[in-house]
Amino acid sequence: MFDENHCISQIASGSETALEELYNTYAVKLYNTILSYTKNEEDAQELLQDVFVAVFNNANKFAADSSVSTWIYRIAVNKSLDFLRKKNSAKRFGIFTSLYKPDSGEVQIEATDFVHPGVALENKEDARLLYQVIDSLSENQKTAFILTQIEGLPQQEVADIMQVTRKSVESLLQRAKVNLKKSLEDYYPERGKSKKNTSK
Amino acid sequence: MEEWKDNILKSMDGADQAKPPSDSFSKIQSKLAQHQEETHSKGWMAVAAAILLMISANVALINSYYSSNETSKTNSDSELVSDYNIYGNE
Repeated sequence: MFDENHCISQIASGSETALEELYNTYAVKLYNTILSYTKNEEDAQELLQDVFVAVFNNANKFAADSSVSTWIYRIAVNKSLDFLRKKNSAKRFGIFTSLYKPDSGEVQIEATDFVHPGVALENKEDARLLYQVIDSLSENQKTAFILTQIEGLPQQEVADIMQVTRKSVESLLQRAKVNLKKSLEDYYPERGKSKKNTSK
Repeated sequence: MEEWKDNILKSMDGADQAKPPSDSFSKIQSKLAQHQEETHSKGWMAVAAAILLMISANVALINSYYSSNETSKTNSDSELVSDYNIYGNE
């Protein structure tokens, strides 16, 4: 049985073998979580490496007041959110990119064509739309939605990761779903109407 | 009417997990090695800076000591001349 706490104490002593063991346990799960934030595989790969570097450098500070899983996920979520803040900040202060399309003069809206590499073919288009509207959520709603609905973590575990109550996670998730649906309606106002019209 | 939105929200259900590249862990090890190198070089720089500071402080102290000795020697010479009126006309 893999003793995670023992693994962390070995990492704190400088063991890269222990780090590799932890990596083999968590890398795939964390990579998928990070990918939902970055929507770009290269960025997700870079952040995954940064997460495990942070684990190695901070293993001596792990207080065992939470599980190792909670601690690692928390590092991954925080690094992902930092990445998004820097990206949004760079966009706001970009001086080399015009806000307007050169031909029509309309405001450019960055189209997100990210399709998760693991999604089933029949769901690809819907998943693409989902990742487009996820950006409209606040950080907490986004995290609650990604961790519960996409990663499938239990609400209590998500509460531990986010350091809030389970009720808060439930509330954040409810609001996230409402906001996502609203965004979908705003993006595709005709879609609901056309479906209504085709029904007998 | 809500069905299409619910379908979109659930579109990731049953999706396969993406896998990070196979060389990901070796890149982590490279970053760790790089971080350790940077930490060591910063340590040596701090030691060098402290030594330089000490040398500068000592040089300033020595300069200050000798310049105050020069001043007091000049002052005592002037006192001798005025006390004994060595260069005065009688």
